[in-house]
Amino acid sequence: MRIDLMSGGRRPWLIRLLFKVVERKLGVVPGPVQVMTYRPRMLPRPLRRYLSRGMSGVGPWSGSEAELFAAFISNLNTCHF
Amino acid sequence: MSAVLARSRIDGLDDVAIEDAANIAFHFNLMNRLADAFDFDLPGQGKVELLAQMLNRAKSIASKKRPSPSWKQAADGRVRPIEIALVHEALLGTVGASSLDLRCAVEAFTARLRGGVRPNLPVPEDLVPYLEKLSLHAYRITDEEVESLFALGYSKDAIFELTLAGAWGASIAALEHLYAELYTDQRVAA
Repeated sequence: MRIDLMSGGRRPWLIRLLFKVVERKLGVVPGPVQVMTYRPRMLPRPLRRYLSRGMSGVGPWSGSEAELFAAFISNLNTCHF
Repeated sequence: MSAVLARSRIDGLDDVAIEDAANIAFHFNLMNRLADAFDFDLPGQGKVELLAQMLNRAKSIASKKRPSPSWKQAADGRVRPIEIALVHEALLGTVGASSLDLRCAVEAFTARLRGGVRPNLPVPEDLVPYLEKLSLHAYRITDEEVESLFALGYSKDAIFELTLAGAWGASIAALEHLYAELYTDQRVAA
């Protein structure tokens, strides 16, 4: 990470505790999770709800189709993440 | 955009399917820009599968609370999904390390670069190259460019907020075009 988002920020203690567990298991807390929790008041819960909607596989698109769209968009953006 | 929308409907897609596809595109346009700007770390060898399992578990929890799509016409006249409208207000209206005026200007600048309709607000010259890359080709952002922002006096929190506002503006422009079309069609139908 070019910016250390693990320290500072305004995360509630429960999230910080969860981060320790995830870091121990994966070696790293996924970047999107770090970003989404760094300033909870700027990126409030409705965004997390909205972003998970399309990927949930419950709507008209299956989980696999959603993953395919995601890969297509990431490819257009030349992003390897 | 209207031709694409008309074609999608001819192909048998209803508005919910179109909205959900746009939702995924917005999700990844935003996350790709943030991943490129911040250079997200990836889990080490053998941990990617574990990450996928954790994400799938999180998705199955989130899917139980799937909201029905709805939109809101904001004070600025633009139509956005209701959750996005709420976040837009929080992102540009919450006091932080960067000024609200600067965050609004950054969001407007990157949105305009992607065809969004925004007023032409002044952005500091020293931020322009970074914001142009963030909006148009974020994968070209380098360590040196982010370090130069620190050297210019921007704090970690300010860089985070401005990058977020910039990525948001660039990603939301296409979504607003789509919702404007959907909203207009619904109003005509009503």
